[in-house]
Amino acid sequence: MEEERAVILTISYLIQRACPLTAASCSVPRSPISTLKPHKNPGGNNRQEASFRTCQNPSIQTLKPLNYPTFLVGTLALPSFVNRNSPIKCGCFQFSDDSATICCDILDFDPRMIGQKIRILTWNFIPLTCGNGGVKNGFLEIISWDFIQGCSGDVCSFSGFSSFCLSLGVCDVKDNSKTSSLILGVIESMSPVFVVPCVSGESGSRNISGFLVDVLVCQCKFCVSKFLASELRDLTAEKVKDHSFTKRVIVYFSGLTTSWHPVISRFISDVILLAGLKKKLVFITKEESKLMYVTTDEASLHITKLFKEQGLRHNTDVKGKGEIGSYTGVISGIYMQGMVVELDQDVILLLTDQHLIVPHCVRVGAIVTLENVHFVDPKFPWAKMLILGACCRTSMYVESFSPLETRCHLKSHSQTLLQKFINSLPFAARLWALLVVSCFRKKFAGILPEKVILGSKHKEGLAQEYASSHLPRSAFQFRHGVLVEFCRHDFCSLGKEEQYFHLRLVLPIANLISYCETSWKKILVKQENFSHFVGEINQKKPLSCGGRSYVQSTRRVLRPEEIGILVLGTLKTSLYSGRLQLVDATGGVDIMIDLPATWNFDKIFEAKDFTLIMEGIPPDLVDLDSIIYQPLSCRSIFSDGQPLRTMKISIYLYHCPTDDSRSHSLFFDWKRNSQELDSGKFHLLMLTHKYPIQRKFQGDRAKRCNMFAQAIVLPWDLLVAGKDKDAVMNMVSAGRLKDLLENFTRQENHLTHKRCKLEQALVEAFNYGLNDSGEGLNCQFSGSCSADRNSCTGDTCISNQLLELPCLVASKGVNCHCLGMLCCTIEQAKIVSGCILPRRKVLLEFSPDSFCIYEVLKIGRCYLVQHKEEDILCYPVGRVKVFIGSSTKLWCLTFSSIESLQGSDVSDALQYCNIHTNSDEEIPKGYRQLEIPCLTGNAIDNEIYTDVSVFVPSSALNLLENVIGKLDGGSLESRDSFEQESDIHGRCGSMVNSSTQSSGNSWTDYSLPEGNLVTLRGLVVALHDCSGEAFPAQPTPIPGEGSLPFLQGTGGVCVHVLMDNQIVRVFCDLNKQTYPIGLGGDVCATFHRVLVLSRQNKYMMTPVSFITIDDTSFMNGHLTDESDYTHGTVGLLSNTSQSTVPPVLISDALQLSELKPMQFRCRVVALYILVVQKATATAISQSCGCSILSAVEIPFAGLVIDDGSSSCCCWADSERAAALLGLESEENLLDESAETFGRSKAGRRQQYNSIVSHLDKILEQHGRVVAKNYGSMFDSSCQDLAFSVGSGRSISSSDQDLFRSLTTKVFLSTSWTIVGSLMDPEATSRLEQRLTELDMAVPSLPNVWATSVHRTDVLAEARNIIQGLF
Amino acid sequence: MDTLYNTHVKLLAFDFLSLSPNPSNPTDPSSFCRKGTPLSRAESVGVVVTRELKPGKFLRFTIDDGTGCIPCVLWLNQLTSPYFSKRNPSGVRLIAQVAAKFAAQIQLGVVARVRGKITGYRGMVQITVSDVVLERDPNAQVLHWLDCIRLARKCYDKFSKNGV
Repeated sequence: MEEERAVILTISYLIQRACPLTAASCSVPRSPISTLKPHKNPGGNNRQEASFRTCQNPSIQTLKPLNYPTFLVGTLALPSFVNRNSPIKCGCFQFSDDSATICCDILDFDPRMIGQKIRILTWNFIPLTCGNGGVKNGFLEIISWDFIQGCSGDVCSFSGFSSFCLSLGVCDVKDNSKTSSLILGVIESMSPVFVVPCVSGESGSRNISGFLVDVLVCQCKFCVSKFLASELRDLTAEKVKDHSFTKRVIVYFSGLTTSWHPVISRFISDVILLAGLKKKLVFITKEESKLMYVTTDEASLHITKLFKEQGLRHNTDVKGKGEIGSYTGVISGIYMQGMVVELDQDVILLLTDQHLIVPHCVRVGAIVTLENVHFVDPKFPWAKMLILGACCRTSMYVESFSPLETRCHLKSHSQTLLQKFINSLPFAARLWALLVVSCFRKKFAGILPEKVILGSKHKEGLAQEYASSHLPRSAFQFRHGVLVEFCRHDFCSLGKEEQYFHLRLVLPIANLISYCETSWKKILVKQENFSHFVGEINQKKPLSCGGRSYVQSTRRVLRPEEIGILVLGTLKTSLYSGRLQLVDATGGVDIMIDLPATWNFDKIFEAKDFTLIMEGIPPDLVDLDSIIYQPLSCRSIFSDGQPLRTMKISIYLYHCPTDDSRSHSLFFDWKRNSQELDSGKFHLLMLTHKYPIQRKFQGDRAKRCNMFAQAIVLPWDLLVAGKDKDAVMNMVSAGRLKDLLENFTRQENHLTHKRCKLEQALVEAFNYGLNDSGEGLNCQFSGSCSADRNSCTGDTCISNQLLELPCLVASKGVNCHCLGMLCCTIEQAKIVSGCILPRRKVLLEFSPDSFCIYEVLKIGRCYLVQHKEEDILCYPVGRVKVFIGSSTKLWCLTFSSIESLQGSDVSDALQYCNIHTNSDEEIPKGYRQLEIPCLTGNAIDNEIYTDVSVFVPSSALNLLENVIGKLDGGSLESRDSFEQESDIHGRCGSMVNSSTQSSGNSWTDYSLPEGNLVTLRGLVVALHDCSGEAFPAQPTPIPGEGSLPFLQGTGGVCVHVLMDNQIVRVFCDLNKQTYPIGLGGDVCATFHRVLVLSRQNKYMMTPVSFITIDDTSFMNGHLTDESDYTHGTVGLLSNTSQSTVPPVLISDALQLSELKPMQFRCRVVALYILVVQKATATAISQSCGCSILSAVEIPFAGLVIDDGSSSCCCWADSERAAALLGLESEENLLDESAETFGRSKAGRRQQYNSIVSHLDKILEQHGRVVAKNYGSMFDSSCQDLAFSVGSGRSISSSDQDLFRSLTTKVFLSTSWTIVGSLMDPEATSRLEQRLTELDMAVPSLPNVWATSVHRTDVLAEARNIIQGLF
Repeated sequence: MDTLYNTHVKLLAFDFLSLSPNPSNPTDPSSFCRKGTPLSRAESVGVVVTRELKPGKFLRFTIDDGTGCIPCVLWLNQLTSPYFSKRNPSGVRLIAQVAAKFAAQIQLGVVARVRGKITGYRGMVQITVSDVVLERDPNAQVLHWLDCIRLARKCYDKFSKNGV
């Protein structure tokens, strides 16, 4: 009845409507999606189920159903590769009714339907636009159908044998057919349709399309005999078993039979009979030929009735090294124009090959099966995934159409250079390169034109350039056509993939931030899961300051090289925060980096070796939902969506100065980018202060005013001669330096009376070697600085002389030196006599477009600035302001002794001049690279970044350093009222230098109190938010400070700094001042020009204050991850910080009502409960090497402790528990046995390793082991341990023994100093809950949560007791 | 007071040797009294001065802490004793192994820290040892003395005063 009322739709109607539709839901009840041929995917996990769940993306709609029953009536036809007039150029089946023809695919395909008029009952229609003209078309997904008339009779001459026959004309298989024309075999694999340009003598050239099929044939006596046809006619089910298909032959379907491609693809791993073939030698290249079966006009294909599917592929031996197998999965995403298909969320199918035929029904939500696909497990550190690499043997068909309204992806037929490049790579590298491309497109969208990123047909794009720079030459393989690759299939790489597993994921910055946020949450959740019952242990103890307590932030440090990621971007100063950021189109992240003064900010910066630091206050509740999002998955890179920053935690990068990425990056090459000094005159500046961003108009952040810095003009000018290296060498060898050096030497004699013999020898040798002086270098300098040779001969009277020091000048990255001269601009006598040198201060003003220069300048470093005509720097008198525009160049300069150049070209030259260097170190042979050593100068550390090095003899270096030292931090003249302070850079100790001047007059904007400005340097201990009112007020008000009008409002930060063993506090009002990124606990920082508030060690930032972070604290690894010690520490000996916690007896502690931290000295009596589980090896967790803790995680343990006064139950987790259990050190674990058995150290190590590996094995098997003591809680010898395991299985007795013997270590330590506090009722109830889950009761003892565990310092402890006793 | 009963009290030898059987609980062989405070476990540190081994049965030794000698017994019969027969055999085997290890460590002249039950033997009070740790730090003995003095003053005497 229903059928009669059904509407018959026409295809042209559907095409015109161009709307995705389904006629599935109305006519037939939807059957659950099931795979027809359930393949066992490798790994055996139930991927599909998981992906069905996750596929339910709410933004994707299901196909709109027609609300009335419909049919389509038409004929199914094979694709026509020969007919060029056909509107459809793909290899799909075609369905046509009277109105139009469209591509289609059939779910329950029956070969008999070909050429028949059929009625389609249920279907999906997906509109397509074809070709360049945007011709409307569509794709029909046929779900169910039936024949309109009964299937027309077979014309097959072999109908007894075959269930279906496909032939070009009349099928005529004769019983006496030649064996070479007949094949019975299993289809193993097939190629896509390809076109071979063919030149034939008469008709000129024409293209032949065709495809290859690999068939496994039987070698039995019937199959090779000429009676095969007649044998097959009489085939019975019993005889079927006699055939074994082992021999591989290739059948070439060409010409008209090409259109059989979609049919044959349905019968992979089925037995077929092919007739009408001819054996032919086919040339696959000019030289190479292969014997193949080629179809003729009489060819016919027969599907056998009796043979069942052979199931050739077994995925059992797939290890992910490129083996071939089959896979069935749900499409969860299609990216990169269909080149990347994501199946089941974590399987990535690569369909990059140009000739691959991807069915139109490959849409998100469809279930597809892939045959003959390469399995590659890339083992990338950043994500777990499986790559399925499609090659010319891969075929793909749909098991179930997608019910979702997702579109088909049509591949473009033109191949760009980039695609060719990608196709030439092995699969793992191919995926990586695709990710790079996708990432670059995101990163540089709007910054660079698409063409520059992706390249064109003839020009490489940036993405390709970058990717190829990271791949070895061997990665690129020449790609042949399908014909060659199909015949030489071993071409597909096997085993080569491993060398690309190290490739690091290039991450858009938005993804980097979202990764940080996710790992931040993960850490919190991980901690919460196991430690919840003690409450608040995620956080550091609240910090008490000024009578209030503050929640402290926690820091997490990630090492991206462990995660396997890197980021690119440009460096920019943020308009809002004034901080330096690494920026791309997706976002920006703060970065701490020491840049050369000559850094070009337009360059792309590649951060390889950096540290990712997150700092924030852990939230009370962690939003678990967002953890499902995988920021490092391929999906997150390929998909268009951009993750948004959701959390208020501080995320920044610290870029290590040791990193070589600046010198070895595609984007930055020192040789290309080095900024050489031109010849001429340069002034030397030493930066003494940087003024922070002035926020004159609050709220109007976009409007920026100029920035300022203060510098001292050093009394030296640098004159640089030519930069031709050869010229220098020639001069050195020709002795032209002689005059200058002679001049210098004589003067030197007056300057320094004591001189190192070696130096003397050096200079003398110089003179000796350079005796025959020519006209000398002098002529190269302007006349004003020529050396007066005559006056130099005098012995004493030089006081009016201008001091000149010849030197060698080297620019970083330029492998040559130029000669230079340092000319002293003040009278020499002043320097020699050590009298007070004038501090010639200048104010540097930076316009907004030169903020970058401001950004790279560092306080305390020397810079060169080129002399200009009528340069104010020549005569800096009074307050001089120098404008630094974007065109101004500054070079960071360091001085160093010429002797440090040994081993370089110059020292070769020196050796040539018969000069002995003063080092015993051997110079490695062949070491010719001129290495510019890092200079000390007056820098804080030795690794300082420098653009220009000036090499002077070491005695001159001393002189220079003296002068600079005097100017920098030496005695000061009483000067103008404003900012006099002594800087302290160059000294490592923390100190306070009280300065001599007051502030306030000049800054009428702020009613600042009068007071001294000082510079502090120290270790930041803690940092907390603090409102102005809460900042510890002054006990004795000082004038102007009574009401503290400037300390009002919220948004302040109080920094606790440790200096000289005392804590000082610095207040920073964030509304008025900024503080640099990286300021946090455990960081050395210098606070320039902070206001002394009182004598109570309190200071305040003023609008002129500036904070610099000492990089060394990051470099030296002081910056540690706080996830582990946020709630305590483990140490061998108690350290001084513990002394703040009062030591008490347990019996006394029980009397106290307050639950504050206390220190107990006690021993472990018994184990109450111990939970041990497999350590989760994440990139986040720091690896502990091969220690027991790398294998084991202790979520919590309860131990009975006793100090002689009473006992209690001590609860601890991770290292603290491990320490108490005696598991933390190898020595402890093996101490006793080693003594007993007298093992060697190596033997002990071996034994230790075997314990660790045994534990690892147990935990691998069971996941978690819980040991409960049902025996005595007060007697170590009467413990009765019972074990239960997470796996639910029973634990073997040998495993139990291992745990028992491990737990006996508990009693082998003498004494522990434990800091902890009694649990409050709430924590106790949480503990009870946890224990109830484990079938244990809370022990009838007081419970203490241990926050830190240390070995007792026996001597110190004894001293303390004596003091207490007497 | 009960908190002290299961605590390993740190007593100097002279103090330890003056312990008397608990009059309120004469049936319990391991209940002793110090100034009226019931005690059952003790910890002591001293030099091992005598040593008498009955293999597979026990090790009898005395430790001298400078104020006296405390007799100790370390049982080595776990594998044969009916007392352990109901326990998990592998657990018992381990206890026996550990005890044997302790016995091997107890050599004349070593400074040992022992913990165990206070028991009586032939009218003398002794420690039935649960565990032994050798002290390598010479300060450990001093610290133990100071601990004993401090605990006696601040803890044990206080209990006894309250108790008496």
